[in-house]
Amino acid sequence: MTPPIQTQRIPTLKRLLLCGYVALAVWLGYWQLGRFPEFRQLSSGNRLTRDCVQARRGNILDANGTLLAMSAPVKTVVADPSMTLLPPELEHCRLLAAEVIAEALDMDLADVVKKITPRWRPNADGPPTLIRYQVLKRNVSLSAWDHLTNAMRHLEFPVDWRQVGRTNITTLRYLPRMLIDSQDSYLRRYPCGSLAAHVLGFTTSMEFRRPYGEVSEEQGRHGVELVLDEALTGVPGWRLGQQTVGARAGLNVVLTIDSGVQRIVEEELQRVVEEWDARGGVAVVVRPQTGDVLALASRPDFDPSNPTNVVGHLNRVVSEMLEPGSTMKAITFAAGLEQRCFSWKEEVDCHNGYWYRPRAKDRIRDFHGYESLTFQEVLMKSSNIGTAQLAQRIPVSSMLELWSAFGFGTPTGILLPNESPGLVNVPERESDYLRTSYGQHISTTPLQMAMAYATIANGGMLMRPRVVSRIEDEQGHLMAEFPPLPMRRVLPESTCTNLVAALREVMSDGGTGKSIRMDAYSSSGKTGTAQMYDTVNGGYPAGMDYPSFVGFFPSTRPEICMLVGVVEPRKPGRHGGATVAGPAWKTMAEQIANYLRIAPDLQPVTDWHPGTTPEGLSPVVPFAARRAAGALLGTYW
Amino acid sequence: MTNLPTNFAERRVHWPLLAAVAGLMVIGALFVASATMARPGAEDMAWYRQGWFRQLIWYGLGTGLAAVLMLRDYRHFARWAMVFYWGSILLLGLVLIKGIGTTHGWGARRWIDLGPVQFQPSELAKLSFILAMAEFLSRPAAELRRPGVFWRGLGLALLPFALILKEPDLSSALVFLPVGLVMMFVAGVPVRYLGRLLGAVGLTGFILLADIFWLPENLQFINLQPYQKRRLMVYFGKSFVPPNATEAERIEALRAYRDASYNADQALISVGSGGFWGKGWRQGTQNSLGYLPRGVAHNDFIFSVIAEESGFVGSLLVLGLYGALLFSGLHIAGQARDPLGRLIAVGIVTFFFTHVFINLGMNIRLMPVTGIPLPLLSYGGTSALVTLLAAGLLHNVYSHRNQH
Repeated sequence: MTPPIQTQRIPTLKRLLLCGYVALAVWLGYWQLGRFPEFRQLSSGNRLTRDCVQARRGNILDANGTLLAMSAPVKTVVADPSMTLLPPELEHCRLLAAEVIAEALDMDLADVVKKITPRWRPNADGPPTLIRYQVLKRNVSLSAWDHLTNAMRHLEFPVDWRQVGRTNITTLRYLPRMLIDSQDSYLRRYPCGSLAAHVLGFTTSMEFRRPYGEVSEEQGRHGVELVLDEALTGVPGWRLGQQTVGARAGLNVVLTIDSGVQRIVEEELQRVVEEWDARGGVAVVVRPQTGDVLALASRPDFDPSNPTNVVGHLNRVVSEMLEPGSTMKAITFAAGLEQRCFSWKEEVDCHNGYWYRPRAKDRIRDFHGYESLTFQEVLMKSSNIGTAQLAQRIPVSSMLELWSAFGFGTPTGILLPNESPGLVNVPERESDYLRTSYGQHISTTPLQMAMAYATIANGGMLMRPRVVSRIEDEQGHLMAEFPPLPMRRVLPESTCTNLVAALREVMSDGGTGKSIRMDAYSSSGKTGTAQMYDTVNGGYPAGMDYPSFVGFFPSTRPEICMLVGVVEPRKPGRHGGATVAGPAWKTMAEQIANYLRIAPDLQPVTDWHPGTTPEGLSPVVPFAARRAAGALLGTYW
Repeated sequence: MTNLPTNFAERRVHWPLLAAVAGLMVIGALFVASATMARPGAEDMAWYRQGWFRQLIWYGLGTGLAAVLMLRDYRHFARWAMVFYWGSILLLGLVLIKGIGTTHGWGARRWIDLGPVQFQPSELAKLSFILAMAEFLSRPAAELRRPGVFWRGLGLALLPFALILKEPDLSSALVFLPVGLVMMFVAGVPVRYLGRLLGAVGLTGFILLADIFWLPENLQFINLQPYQKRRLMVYFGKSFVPPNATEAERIEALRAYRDASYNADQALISVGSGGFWGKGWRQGTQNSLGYLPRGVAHNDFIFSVIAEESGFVGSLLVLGLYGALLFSGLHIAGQARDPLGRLIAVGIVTFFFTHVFINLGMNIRLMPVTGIPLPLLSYGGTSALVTLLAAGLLHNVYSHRNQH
């Protein structure tokens, strides 16, 4: 017995329900189909994890693979301040979290509180947006980050959970895990300290705003870091939601520098600079056959990881123009040999150390006066007057030609920044020209002078000085190579053989370099004591000297060419190249020879007599035979 | 006439209804998983502690109880309807007492703590109210035309309404009005009474809105919770910025507006950005990145997750399954041979429809934001249990339609 009214009303209800249903479906279609593009835009703008994946900067290694510069992984700790959106009565929870963060990151508590307190970014139109990204601290070590995450995980809030309310429970439950996050970042480290600082250079950290977020990138500012910045810098990647485009790490740069040689050179240079209370010092070691720079040091220096010593930034080896002094005489003699205008045995009047030419009103002095010397002795004893008289026989044009062939007046092309070309003027007066013959009134960089001697050692072929040997990727695949590059032939080989023998006499008993002679190795070189031009007041004030020594060893088959110079020693005394720079050169050379195991070419001084076999030594082999074997095998015996 | 046990060769199982319920349960488990596993740390939890597994346990429990419910004729339960009803009223009263009811930390006193689980009496009250109302309205048509019956029926609805409003849980309370109204309508209560009732409700609503929007603060006489007021203002797009406000006040008001509208805005972005095919299961960025607030994504805003991840296709599927459920219910109401079964079916259908319409509506800005769960899809034990029991009762009406 159904009331008839009920049978009528059910279809009515059905119709009503259908209406509601259609309304829902239409409304849904309107949002999901009609306005889909607009909302897709909105939701893709809604991406929390839109950030940058930092690229690791490449390492710099020495020739043996020792790390000189590296990028250590560190963390940039960021906070999402919106996670601490709490009512005033729960603000102590935020303070508690801030305390944990401040303690783990060693930060100021007030600073942390300020940074994790929610803030709104006002919009020109529409409601302000909550800031969800705040950098807390950069360059946080991985262990500190681990410590922090651990501490946050064990964070417990002293609240009565029944009292705090629904939304706050959610907030507090997610706060320890969601408040802080980290981004991978890298910190430039120099494991060897200030070793080879002038070759490596330094970087500074810069913030860049990229389309996908803020990046902090290292930028090379000096040295190889600057010159090869492009290779060392990688390509950053990004993260968009779950999609990650990885970064490509920067390339590794392998230098020709040998950190062992470099350390020997730097320690000795530091010692001599301190000993003589000098304003600066330079030292450079090259292999004559390839132009490889094994060591390059300049004083004062700086710490690449904290390059605040601005005075030390100057790389004197490539950037400072110095009048070389007597080391230039070898070049003059090379020109003389080319012109065939003298013989070594020829006597020359040395005017007792004071040569006045009345017509030119020009004086030339020698440190030690001599009646007359052979040209061999002129070079040995470093007579300015003798050299000047040789220069008089050489046409200026061919001298200029030789200078430019040696590369004076043009940068050598080494891969280091701020290289100076030196200064070569066409001499206007004869007196200027004569002075250039013994190394005044002409400026070169120490590197140019070292390369000139390396050219002589290399049989007349000038190599481009090479400080970078190759560029590799992370897996060690070769990306670019810088092979030894012969620049030009400066002198014929015979001239060089001749000159090497003459320069070897500098170390003989009568030469200026007597004290520099080594026991086990023959060496060729030249002392130099230049007067420095005062760039401020002009002129050549007394006591402003640049003593230097440049030479190579062993003379017969040169392996190492090295220049040591001391800029402006202030300790009273005679600032001769042989007394200031020479001993340092000798110490370095002996240690380097030892380190590199260069075969001695002189009879070793021993206290045992031929024919007996001392303990631990190999059976006696005639010295000549051993030397022949050594030359044949090219090994140390 | 002998009372012989006769075996009528009629169908006892309503397959479309069961299929719709099963389909909804599958979708519910899938998207509860998607919403809960997006939380940080959820991946590390054991499978038996995951949200979807708990939900499956509730489904299993609910299905079992519903099956038990289907064993006996619904008329048998209807005899106990008033007992259930007053029992529910007692529970609703008890939940208001401190010490018995628990706030669950969520501000409102809505739960009774039963050891490991909490139980929400207002959900159960909906079911017992439907049963009681159907029993009450199963009377001769002439009686139903009397105003006394109308008023007593209204009282039957307003009693739990008032108690739940006291918790406070406005949205749950409001469900009782349409259910009671529709049941009275179908039972045959004259339209003029119902029209008056609707008019009164409409007038109350209008006064409420006028009070909020146009009266100055100090003259407002209706005390809504501040969050309710803000939600209403957001729904009607009314600015929070008071006239002649300073810049600081303006920014603060805009901030408050943003906070209040945040859920609704993000839900709409989720739904809208789903497009036709959706972003794929567990691929929704709004959901996985926490833009859709994690506290509500798996319960009140589960539809946003579904719409974002499965698109318009998925939304229509959900709508279709609910449609199948609701129209099966109306079909069952039409097949019932006594007013009791008919009214139970109609009541349950209205109960479902109200929930679906309000919840879906709030996800797509058709309704203001309220805390009403989506039957069978939202995470939550009591809701799933009561929904399954209601579906079981509905099916009971179908199975036993010929027993008289």
